[in-house]
Order: sequence, then C-alpha cells, then structure tokens
Amino acid sequence: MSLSMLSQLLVSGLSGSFVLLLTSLGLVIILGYMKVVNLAHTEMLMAGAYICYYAFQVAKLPFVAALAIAFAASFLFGVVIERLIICHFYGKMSETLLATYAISMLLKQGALLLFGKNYKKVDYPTSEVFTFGSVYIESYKVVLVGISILVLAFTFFFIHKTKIGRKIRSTTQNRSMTECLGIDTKRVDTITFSYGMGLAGLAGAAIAPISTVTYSLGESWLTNTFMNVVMGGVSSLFGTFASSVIIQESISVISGLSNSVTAQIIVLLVVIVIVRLKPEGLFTSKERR
Amino acid sequence: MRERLKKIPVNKYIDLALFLFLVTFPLYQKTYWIYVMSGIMAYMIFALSLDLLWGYTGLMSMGHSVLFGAGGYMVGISCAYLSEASWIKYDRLPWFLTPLSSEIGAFIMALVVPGIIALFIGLFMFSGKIRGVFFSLITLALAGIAELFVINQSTYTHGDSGITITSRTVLSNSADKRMTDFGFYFVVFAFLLAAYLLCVLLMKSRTGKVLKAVRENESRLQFLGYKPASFKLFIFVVSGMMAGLSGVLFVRVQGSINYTAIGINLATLVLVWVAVGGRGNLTGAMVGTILLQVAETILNSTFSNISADFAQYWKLALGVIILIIVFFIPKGFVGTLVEAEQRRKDRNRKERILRKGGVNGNG
Amino acid sequence: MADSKVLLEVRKLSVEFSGFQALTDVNMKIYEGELRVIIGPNGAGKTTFMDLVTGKTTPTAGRIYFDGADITKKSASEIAKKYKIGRKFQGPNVFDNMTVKENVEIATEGYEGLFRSIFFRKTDAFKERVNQILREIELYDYRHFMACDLSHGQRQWLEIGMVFAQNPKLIILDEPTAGMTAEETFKTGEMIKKLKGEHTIIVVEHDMDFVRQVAEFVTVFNYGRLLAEGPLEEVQKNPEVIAVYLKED
Repeated sequence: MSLSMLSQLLVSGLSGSFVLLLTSLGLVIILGYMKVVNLAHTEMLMAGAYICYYAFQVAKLPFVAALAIAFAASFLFGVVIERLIICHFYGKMSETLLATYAISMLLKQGALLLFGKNYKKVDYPTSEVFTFGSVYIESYKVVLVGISILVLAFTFFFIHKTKIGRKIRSTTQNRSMTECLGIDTKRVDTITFSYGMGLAGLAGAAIAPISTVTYSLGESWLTNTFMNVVMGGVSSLFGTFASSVIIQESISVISGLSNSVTAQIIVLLVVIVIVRLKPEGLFTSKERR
Repeated sequence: MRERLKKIPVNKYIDLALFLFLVTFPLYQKTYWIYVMSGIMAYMIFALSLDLLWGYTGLMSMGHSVLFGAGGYMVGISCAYLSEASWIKYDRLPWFLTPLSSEIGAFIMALVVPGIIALFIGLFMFSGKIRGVFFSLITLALAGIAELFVINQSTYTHGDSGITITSRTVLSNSADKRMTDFGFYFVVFAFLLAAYLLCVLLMKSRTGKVLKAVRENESRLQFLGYKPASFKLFIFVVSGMMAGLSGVLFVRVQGSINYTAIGINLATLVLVWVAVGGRGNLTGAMVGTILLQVAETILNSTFSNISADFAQYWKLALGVIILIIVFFIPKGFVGTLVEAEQRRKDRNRKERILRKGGVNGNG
Repeated sequence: MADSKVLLEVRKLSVEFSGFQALTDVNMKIYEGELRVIIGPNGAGKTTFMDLVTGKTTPTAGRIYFDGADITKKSASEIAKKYKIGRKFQGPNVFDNMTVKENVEIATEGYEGLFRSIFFRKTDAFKERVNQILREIELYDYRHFMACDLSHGQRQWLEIGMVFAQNPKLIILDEPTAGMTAEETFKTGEMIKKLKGEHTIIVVEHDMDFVRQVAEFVTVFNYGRLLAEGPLEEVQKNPEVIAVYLKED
C-alpha cells in the first residue's frame, strides 16, 4: 500500500470516526445515564434520515432546518416511547432489550410499509471537494466532523453545565437521594431518554446525504455503534470519542488492505479482548466495586 | 400415587402432551404440514438451547443464530462440495474445513465449530467483572457481522443466494439415499426428544442448580467456593453445540441455507419464542416456538394471496406481540402457569404451617 | 487464649480506593475456636476488612495469613473452597428465585467444581445435613418456599444457614441481625452462641444489645484503623472508644 493511499484511508477513517461518534452518542447517553440498552437506536438513525429526505430533499427546506426537525421529532417520539413503554422496565435488562427491540421492529417495518423498498438519495448540502495533494475529501464530510464536534460539545455542556444536566447526573449517582431533594426523577428520565433519541434522529439526518436512505439503513449501523459503546464504556464521552477513532480508523485501514467484513471481524475480536482487559471501558479509573 | 402425581409440576404435563401431539401429528396430516412441523421441531431444539443459556443461566445471547447458522453452514458447505454444485469454483476445501469432505465429518464439525465459537467468546466474556448486558451487545454485534461474513465468503457459501441441498438424511449427502418427509420427521422428533431429555437431566442435576444460582446472584456464588465463569463457559458451549445441531436439522429439513439463518433476524426471533413461552422451564421455549411458528405459517397461507407484503405485516405483528408479552405476561405463557401453581402450593403450605402452630407467620 | 492456634492473621493491611484510604496498617490475630466481635462506627472499615479477607477486594499493602497459608491475593472462590472461609453478607444476600432448600444445597460443600457437579448424586448423609441445617435455622417447614417469599429475618437466617452449610473453618457474619426484630435478634444470638465452640466466628455488628449477648473479645475499628482490642468490659471503659461512640451519637 502506498503512502498516499494510506493517508487517504486515514483521512476518510478520521472523518468516519466523527460520524461514528455522532451516530453512537445517543446510545451512549441512554446507556450511561439510564442503564438502558436502546436497541431502537439505529432505527432512529433511519427515521432521522427519512425526515431529512422529506424536509431537505422534497420540501426544499434549509439543511439546518432539516436537522432541527429531525432532532425535535425524535425527541418527541422519545418522550412518547419513554412514558408509554420504557419507564415500566427500568432495572429489568431482558425486558428492556425485548421492548426496545420491539420498537425497532415496528419502526423498521413501519418504514418499509410506508416508504417502500426504493432507495432515496439525499443530495450533498455542500458539494465542493477538498484536495490536499493526492488526498481528497468531500466538503460535506468536513461539515459532518463539525456537526459531530458541535453535538459533542453541546452534550458536554448540557450534561455538565446546565441545571437539568446536573439533575441527570445526580439521578444516575443516587436516585433516592435525588428524589429526596425534591427533583422529579421521572421527568429527568424522560428528558435523558428523549435527548438520546433526539441525538439519534439528528445523527440520522446528518448522515442521510452520505448514505442511501432506505428502511434498512439502521441495520448497517447496528454492529459498529454497539461495538463502539462496548469498547468505549459509558462513563466518559472522551472514551466514546477515543473508541470511535480506534474502531473507525482500524476498519478504514484494514478495509483498504482486504475488505470491510474482514475489518469488522478483526475489530470485533479486538473489542472482545479489550472488554476482557478493561471491562469498564477504556479510559476509566479504577473505582471501588 | 396421587401424592406423587401432584408433585409433578404443571409444565411436565404440558411437555408430555406436546410430545404426544408431535409423535402422532404426521399420522393424520398432509405432507406439507409434516414438512413444516419438522422445521418447527428443529427450531424447538434451537429454542431449548437458548433457554439453557438465557432462562436458566441468565445469559441473554442476542446472537444465538450464529451458532445455529455455523452448524447449518457446515452441512451446507459439505453438501455443496460433495454434490459438486455448479457454482463451486474451488478445487479443495481449506485445511480447517477438510472434515467437511466426509458425511460424518460434516456432522461432527457442525457440533464442534459452534462449540469452539462459544468457547472463544465465553473465555473472554465470562470474567466476573463484565456486566451481563455486554454479553448481549457483543453477541448481537457478532450476529450482525456473521451475516455479512457468509455473504462475503461466497466462494464457499454461495453468497446471498445461499446453498441448496439436494438430499436429506441426517448424515448422508447422496441423492439416492433421500429420506421422505415422513421418515425425516421422526428423525427430527427423535433428536428433539433426546435434546429435551438431555436438558431435563442437566437442569435437574447439581449443575443445573448452580446455573440457576449464577442467574440469581453470581457474585454470592463465588463466596460459596464456586467459579461461576467455568459454569457459564460450560453451558454456553453445550448450548452452542445444541444450537449447531438444530441448525443441521433445519438445513436438512428445509433443503437450503442462506444468510438469514445466521443473522440478527433469527437471533431475535428465537428470543421472542422463548419470551412468549416463558423462560427457565424448557416447556416455555418449545411452546413459544410452536405457537408463533404455526401462527405464522397459517397466517402466511391465508394472507399471502391477498397481500404480497405478508412477511412485513407479520414482523409488525411480532413487534406488537413482544410488547404485549413484556407488558402483561412477562413470564410468558408457561412461566405464568408455573408461577400460579407455585403460589397455590405456597398458600397450602402456609396454611399447614399455621395449623401446626409452628413458627411465626411470614411477612 | 494465647496458647491456642492462630487461625487468621493480618499484617499491616492497607487498602486504598482512588485516593481514599479505607484501611490503614491493620494488624490482627484471630485464634481457633474464638468468637470475635468487630464493632465501629459507619465507614470505619469493618466491611472493607471482610472484603479483603474473603478475596472480594485485593489489598494495596500488607498480607493475610490463614491457617498457615498466605491468602493475600487469592480469588474469592478459592478462599471459600480451598481455605474454607464462609461469609454472610450485610443484608440478606441469597438466591431469590430458588427454594430455601435449593439455597442450602448450593451452599453445602461437595460439588463446587464443574465436573463434580455434573456427576454428583445426593447421598443420604448430604440430605440429612441439609435437613439438619434447615431445622437449625427454623426454616424446615419453609423449605419449598422461594427465598424471595420469606420475611427479612428469615432470609437473614437462611444466609447464616448457608454459611454453616459450607462447613467453613472461619465464619464471617457481617451484621447478621440487621433489620431483625428484637425477638429475632435474640434468637440469632442464641443460634450463634450454640455454634461457638465448633467454629471460629467473626461477627461485625452495630446492635450493642446483641454484642453484649454474644461477645467476649471485641475489636474496635475507627477511620480504617484498629482502635482498641480486648475483652468487652475492658473495651467499654476505654476512653478513646467512648469518645468515638459519643461523637457518633
């Protein structure tokens, strides 16, 4: 492999890392702060992509508006789902997995029946291509990196600097104590869950231009996002970022050498080994257990 | 005698009825249904294998189909190789698949390979510190990748068209030894009965009790001198081999295998069967499978001429079914029955204790 | 007591959790056949000490010797099985969705290894032992109940029974009477006193009535250090101990 090809792979791997970070963030938040594995997460990506298609491609709204609509709609959907279904199963792992899987099935089959099997294509909101010597990158992928960083920064701010973020963290730390302080932890749960769902919708809308929008879009993200969560752990956003980079760069480089399936298999094996060595995820300090 | 009959839990009666039903089923049914039911029985073995893992030990594998499909593909590849299927372009099997060049070898490989996969994952995953949910997520990722893998390895697996098998016996691949649907039904039945009895024996043994204790309170168990990891590894390998066996039987019944037999769809479908029937009592796994699969077959034949999208509507319905189950009967049909029986017995016992005027009441 | 054999000895035992010094330089000896009561305010390091002895936590410094062997970094299951230390946790820690009898059977020694468990058949002696323990903890009539259906006190007894079923050389009881009624607490005290001679027992307790009922020799922990040690009457007069307890109340 030539140096220029390697640098091309590394660059696209890096932009891919930010995309993976963006697509995993909602999952990480819901798992990290609520101990809920949201199997409907990747189907929310799909839903977000469809929203982007109809808002941006069909209705010709500005792309930013499409992102905002995707976030808002997914957030609202999250509220409904949490109040109707998820809130009954906190602390029950099997039931949560089954229930969220059921939701994902409804979303996916619903999309198939509503929108059919045809692929939809969303245009690039920005069409330039940057070239640096032999390395090129579409400008939209740079925009995606920007969106990803913005979302990460906002999430960090939201969790650590706002009042509601403080409530979310304290609910995770000690629910009964938080309740004693007069905080409605049920509302906190709803907001946390919906925020995670909203991020999934937003991410789905953001990746719509680089994907083919179809009912099975969620499926293609399932393995990578879940591997990412397992490897990065849930206790720090930095862990998620680091594991996004590791996973996506490895996949990108190994794909260049052989093919993407082999790359995914190797990465999965690495994740299994890492989980064995660092069960709490990368970049977490040793806590009293 | 009556006392002893009373002691037998209600689900054992259901088991008996189920097996009586299954053994007489082909005597009055058309070939089509015999064929369908053979496939369902293979699935029942698969569901049993998951119940050992999920219901008894508390390990919710979300990628159990990988082990099912691994078994199935061993036989599939072997059949394609031996019958020199037209799409085959390779001359020889790679060294690690050479056992597939004989019929018995393929059968053994179909049990060993899933066992090895389970062993590998188990060795890494079953340290005390890894939370249960990570096991589910890793197995889920595995199922997603396995599906891509078999499509990708089209040299041996014929990509997404899958492998069609010309013959059907347990071991043989030659076309002139083909068994009828009627005959093969009883082969699958015998395997189901054997698998069921194995599960019953295993779960009645001390090992079964320890596995239940792993599910209930793994960390406590360590302080009683057990190594939960070795028990988990053991049951995962046993369950994996059993899943491999069910894969073999299913492929033989269906006469084909493709990527759907190894992917996330089947992995989650089997979870639904076990959840509907109820986990942790073997009966539930079998009942759930038969209920949902029979329902799907009947509905499919009724509606498929009205709408071509039946499969989609069925999946939609499955989603609703899962929600109904987790909301209203989280222990599944059989699980709820078993629990009701336990409650009734508890009440009687409590009355007896109070009559004896023994220990203080129990709050 | 000095002439009997030392069963458990810890030397300069310390442990630290991300900067928090939970236990500092603890030296202690437990003699065979002894009933030792460990007291101390919340956060004094009593439970941490038990965690270290039973292999739940590994110490940052110091050594633990049991019956002549160094068990400092052994795993929990090895300590339980090979060295025979049994432990009852704070708050009942049992197998909820299993029957009372199954709980005791799991605890009864005999088939801890995987292969032995597969081929293990219950002998009459085994069954008799299980029944005997069920009677001792007054749960024989409840043997077919699920553990989660018992009352809190009964669940505590069940766990005490499980620890005895292990037939350990050293029994550690972490707050065995927590959440019990006065009557149940007294019964528990009598249970423990009955078993005193046969086993070496360490009890961690808060309830001073209970301590007076069973204790002879006590060890007091405070802020992760060993504060005082001696016969109960002596320790009660120790001004340092009084200060700690007065401050606490």
